[in-house]
Amino acid sequence: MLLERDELTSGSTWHAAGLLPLFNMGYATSHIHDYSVKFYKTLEDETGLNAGFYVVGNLRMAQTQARMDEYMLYASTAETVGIPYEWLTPDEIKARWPLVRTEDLKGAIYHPTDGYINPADVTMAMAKGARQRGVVIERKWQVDGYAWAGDHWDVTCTKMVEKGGNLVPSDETVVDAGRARGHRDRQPCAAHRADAGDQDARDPGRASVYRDRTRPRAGRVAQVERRAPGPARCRRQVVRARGTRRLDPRPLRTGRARAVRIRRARQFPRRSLPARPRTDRGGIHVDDPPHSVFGDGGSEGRFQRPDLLHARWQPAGRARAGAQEHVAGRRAFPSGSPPPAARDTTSRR
Amino acid sequence: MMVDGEAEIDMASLDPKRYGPWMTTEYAARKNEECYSHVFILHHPDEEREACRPLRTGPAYDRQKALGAQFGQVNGWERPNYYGPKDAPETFRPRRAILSARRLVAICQGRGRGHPHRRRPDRRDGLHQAPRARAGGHRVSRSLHLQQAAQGGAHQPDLRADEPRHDAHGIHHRALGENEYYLVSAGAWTAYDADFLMKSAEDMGSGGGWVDIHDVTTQWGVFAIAGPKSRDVLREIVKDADPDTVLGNKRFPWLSMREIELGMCPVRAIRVAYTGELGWELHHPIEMQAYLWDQLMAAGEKHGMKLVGARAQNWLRQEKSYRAFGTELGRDATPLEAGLDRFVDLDKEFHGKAKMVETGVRFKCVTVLIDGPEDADPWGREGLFADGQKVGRLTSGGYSVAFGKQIGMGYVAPEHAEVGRKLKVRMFRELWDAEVVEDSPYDPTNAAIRVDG
Repeated sequence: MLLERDELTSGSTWHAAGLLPLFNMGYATSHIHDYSVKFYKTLEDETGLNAGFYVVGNLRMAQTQARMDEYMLYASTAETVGIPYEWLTPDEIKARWPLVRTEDLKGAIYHPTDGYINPADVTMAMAKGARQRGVVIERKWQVDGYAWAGDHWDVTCTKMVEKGGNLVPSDETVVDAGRARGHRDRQPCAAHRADAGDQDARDPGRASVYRDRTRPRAGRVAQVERRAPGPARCRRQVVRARGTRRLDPRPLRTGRARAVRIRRARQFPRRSLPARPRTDRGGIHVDDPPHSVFGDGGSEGRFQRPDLLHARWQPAGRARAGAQEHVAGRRAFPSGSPPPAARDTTSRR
Repeated sequence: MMVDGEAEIDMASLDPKRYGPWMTTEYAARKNEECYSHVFILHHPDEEREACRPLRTGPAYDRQKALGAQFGQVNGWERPNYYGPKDAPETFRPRRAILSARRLVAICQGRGRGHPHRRRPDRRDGLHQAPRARAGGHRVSRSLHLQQAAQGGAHQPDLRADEPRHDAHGIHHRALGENEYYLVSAGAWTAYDADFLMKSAEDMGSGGGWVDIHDVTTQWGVFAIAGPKSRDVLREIVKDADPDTVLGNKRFPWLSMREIELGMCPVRAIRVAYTGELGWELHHPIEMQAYLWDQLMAAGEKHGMKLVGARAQNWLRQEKSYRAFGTELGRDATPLEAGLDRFVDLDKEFHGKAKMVETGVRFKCVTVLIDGPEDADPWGREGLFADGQKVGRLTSGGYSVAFGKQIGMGYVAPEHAEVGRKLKVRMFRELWDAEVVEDSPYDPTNAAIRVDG
């Protein structure tokens, strides 16, 4: 099972250039690169998805002898791993790539098996291949922690929801014990019950802890179980949160377009958009941007677990201060200025 | 498989455990930024990067710096790489200091990790089982050291505190008491070894007894003093009823540990030297390091003592064919391939034995002397060739002052491993002559190490 906090490719993949250079000074790293290139070549056969892999070769040019010496170090590592390379003189560089000005070049190292790949496509192809082999990919689950419990892993996760265009943690938390699909006879784990009890005392919205005796493996499916319900209002909130449609009318984009959007979102934060009238939204405001929880006036009935959510958005000290201000009926945050944590999640769209 | 807790290839150089609990967010962020700014710069072999330094320093740091120490960062610690001018020409090689180490006496600073490792008396084989429980076939080469520690403890019931227990490479270990051990790990791999120890202790479960493991890395510093005159230097400051004999072979044999007093500093002295000379590792309470440094420097002055750093140590140990973890030793080679046969008792059962025997000997660890280029030494990434075919690779490289040529250690196919075999090593696009030499080409009988006095 693979747990993904957001959507696949929403992490570092979206800004990866997708270059596959095989030169390296490290023996282990070179092996990994070598393996990757060979693996990508088999990916389309296995999954039917083209990962956008183009083996075009890679020309590293040197203007100084020191650079050439450096390339020779790369070459020695490549040689021990079995990665092919060639040395090119400036004339040979010109022959291979006529557009380059070679007068001030000492030479180049050429790796014929280098190439580039589309990072998003290769991710999706790998995801498909994994699914074909029985892996389940669960999205919108943030892994908060994991611990080896002797014979299995306990993985603590939080369901992520979209609120007001931000990906935020809900208060739905499970501890998954890497169960095989279909097992219903889970037992609370004695070793963890005390912890869970503590947690529940502090935070009644948290899940109970379960365990089983199987070790998580590719192909095993974790049973993601709704946590024990908290207060009724809280549960409603979760249900609503899961049903929330995307509030952003702009089409969902991936890859570079997505990067552009995120950049734009940073330039023109959502807080500059006019707030919609409060009356439109009914009683439960799961789609509120987090900073409006204590925000612009009229807060009664808006947020049932301020202690919980607030703790997520702010360091503890500020949370207390905010709560006091909330009681006093003042703005916890200057309008238009979300707390720092909320800013972080903005960029996680 | 990764999901079973092990990678298929040697990932030690990328293992998160090469850091320790001293790591902070700020450190990670600044080092990360440094990586980005370094992407396109020219990378030198063994480069030392500047971000977040100095961070972990011993009390003698300022004294060393004043004497020209050029530091490298190992696991966050500042450790002298060599003593000399920073703007030294490219041809600079600290060979004079090395000659001192061979001919006179030299001191360098290491930083090991001690694990006083206690066992309960009713659990004689506790330490013995700890590594066995954990040492999957993948990691036999590493665990073997612990294995040795364990076997030493388990099969010699009348263990005395000063009795030598030594594995020659990697983790040294010494018995402090009947059920107490002091393990010395490499400075770069403390978290790695600690992880192994802790998990091994955990895996023992409730099988009886307990193992108490303490990380005393930040409580004990280490200076290594080595060279033919090191005994004379120590004799100047050692406090003993009979200072003339306390360091002699009878009272302080090779590979043994003793508690001695140097001036007012209590020292756990271990008679080993990674450089292959008469020498001691001086494990001292870290708060007395500056005092001990001053004592040693004063005592060494009239004996012509020189300071050397880790680079010199790395070259010298190759002349003795001492394997190092992270280069020769790792998960890619079994103990038999690494030439640690004398530490492997195939008559006994141990975890990983079947896998090791099944793997066989795919390649052998060899030491080679190289007639390389004038202005460069191998650094342990080069390919080894015979008859135009690649037959192996170097894992360490350097310059041997004793032989006046480049030296390296590496792995080659077994048929090319015999002594005297002529090989080629590729450096800077050219093939250079190399010859396989016997293990420990310098002082193969260890006469210099065992010398009495």
